[in-house]
Amino acid sequence: MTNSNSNDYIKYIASLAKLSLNDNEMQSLANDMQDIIGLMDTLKDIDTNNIDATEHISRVTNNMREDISGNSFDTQKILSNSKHTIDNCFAIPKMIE
Amino acid sequence: MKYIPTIGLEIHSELSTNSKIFCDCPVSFGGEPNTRCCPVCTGLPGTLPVLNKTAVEYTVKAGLALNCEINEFSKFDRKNYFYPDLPKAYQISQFDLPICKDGGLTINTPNGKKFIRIERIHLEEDAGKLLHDGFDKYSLADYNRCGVPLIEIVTKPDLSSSEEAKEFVEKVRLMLLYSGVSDCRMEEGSMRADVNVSIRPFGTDELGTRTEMKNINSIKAIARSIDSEIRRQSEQLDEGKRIIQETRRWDDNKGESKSLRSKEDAHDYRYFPEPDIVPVAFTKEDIDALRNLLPELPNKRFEKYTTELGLSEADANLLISSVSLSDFFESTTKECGNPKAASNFIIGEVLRKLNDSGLSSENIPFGGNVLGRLIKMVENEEVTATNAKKVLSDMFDSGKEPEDIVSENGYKVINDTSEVENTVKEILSNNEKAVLEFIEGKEKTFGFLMGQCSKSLAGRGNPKVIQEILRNELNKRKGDL
Amino acid sequence: MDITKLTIREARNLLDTKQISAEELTNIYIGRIKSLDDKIDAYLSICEDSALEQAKAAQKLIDNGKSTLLCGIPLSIKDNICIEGTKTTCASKMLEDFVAPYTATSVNKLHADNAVILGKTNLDEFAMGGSTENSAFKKTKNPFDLTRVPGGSSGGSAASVAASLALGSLGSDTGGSVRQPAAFCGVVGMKPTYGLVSRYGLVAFASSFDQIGPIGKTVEDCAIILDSISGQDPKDGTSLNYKSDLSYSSSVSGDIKGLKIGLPKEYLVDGLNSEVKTSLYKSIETLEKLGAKIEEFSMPSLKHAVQAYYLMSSAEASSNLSRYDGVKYGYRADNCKSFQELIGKSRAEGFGSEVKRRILLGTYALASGYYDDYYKKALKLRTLMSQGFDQAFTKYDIVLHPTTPETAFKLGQNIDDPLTMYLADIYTVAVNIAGLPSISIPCGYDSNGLPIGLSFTGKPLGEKEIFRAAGTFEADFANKFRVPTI
Repeated sequence: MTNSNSNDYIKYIASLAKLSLNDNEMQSLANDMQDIIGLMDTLKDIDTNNIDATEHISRVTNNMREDISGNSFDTQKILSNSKHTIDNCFAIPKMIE
Repeated sequence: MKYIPTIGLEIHSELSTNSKIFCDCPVSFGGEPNTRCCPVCTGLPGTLPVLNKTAVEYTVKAGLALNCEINEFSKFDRKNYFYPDLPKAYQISQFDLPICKDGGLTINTPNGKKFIRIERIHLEEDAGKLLHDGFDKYSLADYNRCGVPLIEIVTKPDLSSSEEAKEFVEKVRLMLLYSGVSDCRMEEGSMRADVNVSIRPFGTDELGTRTEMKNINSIKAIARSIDSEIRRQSEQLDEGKRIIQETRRWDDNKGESKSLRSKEDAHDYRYFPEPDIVPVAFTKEDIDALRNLLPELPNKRFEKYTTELGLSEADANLLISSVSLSDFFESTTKECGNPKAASNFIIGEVLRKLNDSGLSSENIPFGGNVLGRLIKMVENEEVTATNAKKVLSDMFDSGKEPEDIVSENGYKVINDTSEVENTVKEILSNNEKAVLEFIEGKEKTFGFLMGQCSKSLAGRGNPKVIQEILRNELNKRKGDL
Repeated sequence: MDITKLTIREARNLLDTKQISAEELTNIYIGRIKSLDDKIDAYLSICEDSALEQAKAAQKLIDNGKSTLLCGIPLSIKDNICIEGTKTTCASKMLEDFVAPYTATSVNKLHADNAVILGKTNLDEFAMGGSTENSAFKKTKNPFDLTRVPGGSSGGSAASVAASLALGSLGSDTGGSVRQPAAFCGVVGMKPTYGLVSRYGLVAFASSFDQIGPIGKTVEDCAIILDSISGQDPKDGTSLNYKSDLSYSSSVSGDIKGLKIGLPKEYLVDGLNSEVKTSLYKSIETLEKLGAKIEEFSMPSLKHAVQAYYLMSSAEASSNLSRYDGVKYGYRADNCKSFQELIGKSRAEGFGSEVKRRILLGTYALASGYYDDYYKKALKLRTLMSQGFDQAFTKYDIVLHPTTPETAFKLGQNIDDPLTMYLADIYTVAVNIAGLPSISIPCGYDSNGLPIGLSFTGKPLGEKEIFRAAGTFEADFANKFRVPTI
């Protein structure tokens, strides 16, 4: 990847991750990412053709709970850490769906 | 037809569990905002999901009712995207190993029976609700619905018309109701559908570009949206334009759809296996045990009612419309041994009474066996059909047994002829004119005289007996002249 | 009583023989924190009032002869573990004002055992880092040398124990974050088998790697804490249904004659500091003297542990940190006209650089077109490494290795060099990848007087074996053990 291509790609990744970075930060992080991804790329040549992916490290299945409902959590506690609530709801800038 | 439509559906149904899928918050419709939430379903830092066993079992039951195979090994995955109704900014869903796969249902089309394939059914969590009215500058997020367990039923693109789609959704709904896994109340949003539509020129094989309309919450709207979209796409192609692959918003009030092009481009959901939930494994025994919990399904009952019990298709369809009504019919029939009589009585009288009193078939205050006894009384000519209707009404209102109602009201049919004879003679002597008219040949007056006799006997007269005696008396008078 | 040498075991004895009251003991630590922590900066917040309440309650039990091992013992808790009513900041601007509305299971267990919680300790932001320099609020210093880092991400926890500002601490370990700072600060730190301790209430970094682990002055102190906090939790679907038949604290001493110990060749790399290497070999001699048999073996998959770890942990982290959008809690940017603007700005302003790097790497690894080559590839390496360890544990009881390739570096030295920081995790990450238990204990000091750590890694649920081996080594090392002078 050329530098400008990788910058564009990092811009796209930053937008996927919803990080609105300014130009300086974008450039600095893009530089870091080039090095870091370079390190990750050393994995490419390892042969893992017949190896299964480990999707869960503890080798158990079926750890479920019974369908018993409990008491509701205090609404005020749920809302207590939000910077903006209205009518017991979390408020966000108006959305047009 | 110039174009062949192809339709696929993704039907979402909320499961009627007691608690949410990943936490023990109660599941129920409505409620003040954020009163049925906890740190887990509102995505507070440090919280973890724990899977609800019943939600998994309900998914298997739904799959079995829809003729699916159950995957022996199944897991959950994260679907990552940002939206204010999604507190964790990912939805825990299932990507490549859903609980159910490869099922389907047969529907009736004008061209005969058609099997609509179901590609998969997976289990996931529902998102919250956004409220946009009420404030100029703000939208509000209510997380009560976050974490309600949801199954998603994905069909293959086998449907070809809005009628087929309508019938398919109705059948799916009935299957889910019978399985007892969902209350399927579309108007409450517990069941909704995403509709995918494409068209292709007649004579070609390759499917056209499809569009999607999301969250349609009534069967009528599903049908309307399909017809509208087929029309819209046909017009586009007729004008030489291409169909754009997009999500459109269906407005049922206006009867039209609008492009949601302002929405973001195709999401990259970055699916990966959910590390906080260990996989689910089923043995054959587990699946069989769940299969045994299913009641006899509506299509089997329909077969039985029409072929073995000789009911009409229309009547059978009415009776299977709910599992409680169908069970009620079966226990009535078991008691009285006459399915046609049971069916007529239930469809004619019981359903009407339910409608009038606003009750549902789950709330009939007596068992089918009790109704069966009433029907037997009618068949044994102990009660007239007319009075039986009154008895039924009373059974609803008072909760008394039919035998008690009959004796309390003196509905027991009089088979004793002397009382009938006296009444008939009295009627005839009070209705000279009618008697003369009958003798002159007006058969119609027989009916009038019958009515008078019945009325006088307060409906307790056995009509056959009254008829016979009336004819006799009239003939006597005829003979006298 | 020399507070700098006090252990939980000794404090228990003092409390139970009424030589000191629980309140007095707590006040000693609170006093030390107030007078010394401005030099160390181990703590982000102190819970003085509630600590004294807890001490009073503990004293009642002691008076009634009903004390348990942790009753009245003052501990510190890493600030990414939720305690109801306390600020739980994860050392991030994003959660600067976040007050937890519930308490983590592990802390509830400590409460049930009547431990005293002194306060919340500093960390690298969201537990991402190896020096605690990534904290948005302060930089913790290494008690052995205030110009050096304490390690990370549980730097505050390790420093609080090393400087005797707490008798023990709960940290969290995702890629070495309990063991590495324990090594840098000359104390003991361990990471349990994945699933042994509940993660409910631990702010998630990488879900399949995170574990809460104890830090203490001795192996036994760590075992005492582990006895309290371990056990299946219905609120954590990944917690194991396992109860040890013996307590961990009773498994700390014993014979290690005939114990088979393996040393991975791949760990004896060029980057290994010569003094650390020397200390390693001296420790091997000690273990052999004590009867163990040490042998080198090869596990090639270890060469790629760092890359695999960073790919997987960053991928999970990128997803776990998506919930921080300013809507429900946390930092909310001003003057945002749309939801997109609100979340983009809040996250850009609320997160520090290292967090952003991990989120970008993780998003990249999961992105369409990259998933197979990066994330899935790493998952396959995870399988190879787990298999490699399974194999090793058929031959060996314990795997031995240095905890870090170097001793504590200077503050500011590596802050702009993420790659150097990542590669320094070489010895610790494989343990998290395979979900194994591992303990780091001091085994020596370099020519600058900086502590060197030695790690004993066991098979899944092999805590008792590693406690026994580490405890036996520790007993032999006891007269060489140093405490820092501050």
